[in-house]
Amino acid sequence: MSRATIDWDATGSEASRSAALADPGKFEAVFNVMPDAIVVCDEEGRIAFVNRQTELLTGYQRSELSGELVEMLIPAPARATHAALRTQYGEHPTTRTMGTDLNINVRCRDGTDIPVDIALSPVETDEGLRIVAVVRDMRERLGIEAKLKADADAEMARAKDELISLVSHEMRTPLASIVGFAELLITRDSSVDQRQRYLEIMLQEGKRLTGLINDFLDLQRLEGGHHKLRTAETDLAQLVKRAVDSVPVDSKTPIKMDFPADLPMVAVDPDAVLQVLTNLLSNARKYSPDGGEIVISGHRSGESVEVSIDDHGLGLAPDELNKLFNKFYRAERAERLRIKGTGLGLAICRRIVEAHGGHIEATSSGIGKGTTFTFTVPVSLPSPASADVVLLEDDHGFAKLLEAELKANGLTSVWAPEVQTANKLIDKSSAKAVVLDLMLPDIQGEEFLIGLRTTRGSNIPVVIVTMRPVGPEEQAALKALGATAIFGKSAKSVRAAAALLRDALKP
Amino acid sequence: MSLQKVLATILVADDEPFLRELVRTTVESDTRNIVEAADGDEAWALIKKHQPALVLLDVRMPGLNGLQLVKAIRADPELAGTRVILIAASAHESDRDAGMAAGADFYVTKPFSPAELLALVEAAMARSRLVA
Repeated sequence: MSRATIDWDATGSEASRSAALADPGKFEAVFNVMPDAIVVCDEEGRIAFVNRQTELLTGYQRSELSGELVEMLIPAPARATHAALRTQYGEHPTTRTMGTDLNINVRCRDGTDIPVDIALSPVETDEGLRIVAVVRDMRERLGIEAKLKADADAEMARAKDELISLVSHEMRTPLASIVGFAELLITRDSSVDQRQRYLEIMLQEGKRLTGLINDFLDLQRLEGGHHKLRTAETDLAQLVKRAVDSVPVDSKTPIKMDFPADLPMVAVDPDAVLQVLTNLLSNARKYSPDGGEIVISGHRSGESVEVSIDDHGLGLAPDELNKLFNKFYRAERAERLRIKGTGLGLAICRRIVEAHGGHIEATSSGIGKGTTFTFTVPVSLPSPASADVVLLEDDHGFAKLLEAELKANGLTSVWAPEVQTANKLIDKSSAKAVVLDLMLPDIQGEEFLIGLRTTRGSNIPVVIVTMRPVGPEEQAALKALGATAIFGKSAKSVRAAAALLRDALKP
Repeated sequence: MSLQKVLATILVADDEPFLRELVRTTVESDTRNIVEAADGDEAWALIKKHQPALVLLDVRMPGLNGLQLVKAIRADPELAGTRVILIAASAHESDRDAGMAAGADFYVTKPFSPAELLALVEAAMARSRLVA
């Protein structure tokens, strides 16, 4: 702290500095214009000098303080121990603050205490050690801090109120249709066509409400940090393909994929990133009411893969781009065109991307000129090439169980949530065996098995663990394809599968 | 009782098409001419044009919102006979008070019972006839 040391150099040498302290009267004019109170004590703790500011702060006259023990300026609880602390300080004097977080107070003449910050500085003089205390009145700053905190609290409460009001509006609207039409169905004589119409609206609005609640809970979980990422080495292009396949085909807005073949694997939670991709793709469609090609592309950028979704839709004004990722924010033009949305999708996307350590942004050349969303995900760093077993299993929880059981048997494993990832892992790792689930999101396990036997021959044991009931004929068929063993999904069969692999790999 | 059928115009403004359909279905009869608006600005244009006996306004709409519309109606001498029912997603006392203070005749919270809404519509129409 600069104010802890009084810079005497401008006035002369070390000698003149000591002289000044021995006879501070010489520098009284300087001391008196200082904004802080200055109290100089001798080795016994007796006040040798105070400046004008000390008088203003404490209400004591200089004559009342001079020669008194400094403890008279210290309130009761600290006063008792102060003499001892002062003696300690006298033995090892250093320039230091007394600690801003100690809640130090000065006791004034009228008995009130004022919060202060104190800096101490020892100075050797011809007449012995002098301790200079620079005492700063903290009332104003503490007041400002308290006000800032109160303002921040009020802002948070306001944001919360606004959120509750928005959620209430968003949820009550579909609820109003459901409740209202249900009452009409019960209380009025309606034609068959009318009844059909009311029920359709109720179903549609019921689904909308469900989606809204899911989105809202997703977001709460993500914001609360309760959402645990289930990171796996993932083939991004494959994930994008799944996302593209999941949004309905629309010839007005064809989706073109542009991913280089040598794109590195990424380390992401596949389900979460699939949600981001699906959301951005369906947004691109939704906000392109006049159609236009949508291009989704990816390229490596340092330790990340950058994914862009480019549309020829409504576009956005510059001031809307930043607000876009805020909860419940809806772009003005989309509202005007009555394009439905909860304003939660992009807030969810942002949280998911940020949870992966990436970032997401929107750019647009302006209204009517299309929008580009870009986000990054981390490249998977050197993969667990030493894994003994590849687990091709879309259920993360079950993969964890397998991993733990294999570990107990001295085997390492790596999880692949879908086939492409598994193939890449088998190609580049030292994996000596595969645990295979038959029911996978993209292809059936049998296909994978045929592919593996074609490319790698029969020297990799493949143990099937599946929920699907497998009859004797199918068992025989799978074994003919090269399955080493077939188990159901249970704790017992996981143990058996792990033991079998241990025996196979560690003879 | 007049023998001639008098058509009373009622305006329904809501940005949600299903909500408009629900309100229309609830209040329509052969003595009422229902006009629909999908946002606040369209609602104001139609109110000026038709000078409806009753308007049912969603509070939260694109363009002019329901509260702004009530204030505009109350400030317009030509619309002195127009009754207003606000339909809101907020059940907060303070929002209800703000709606009534702005000059609404009734304040209804979503979700609402069509039968109760119809009762309010009839009460408001009776007031409208008294004033007009």
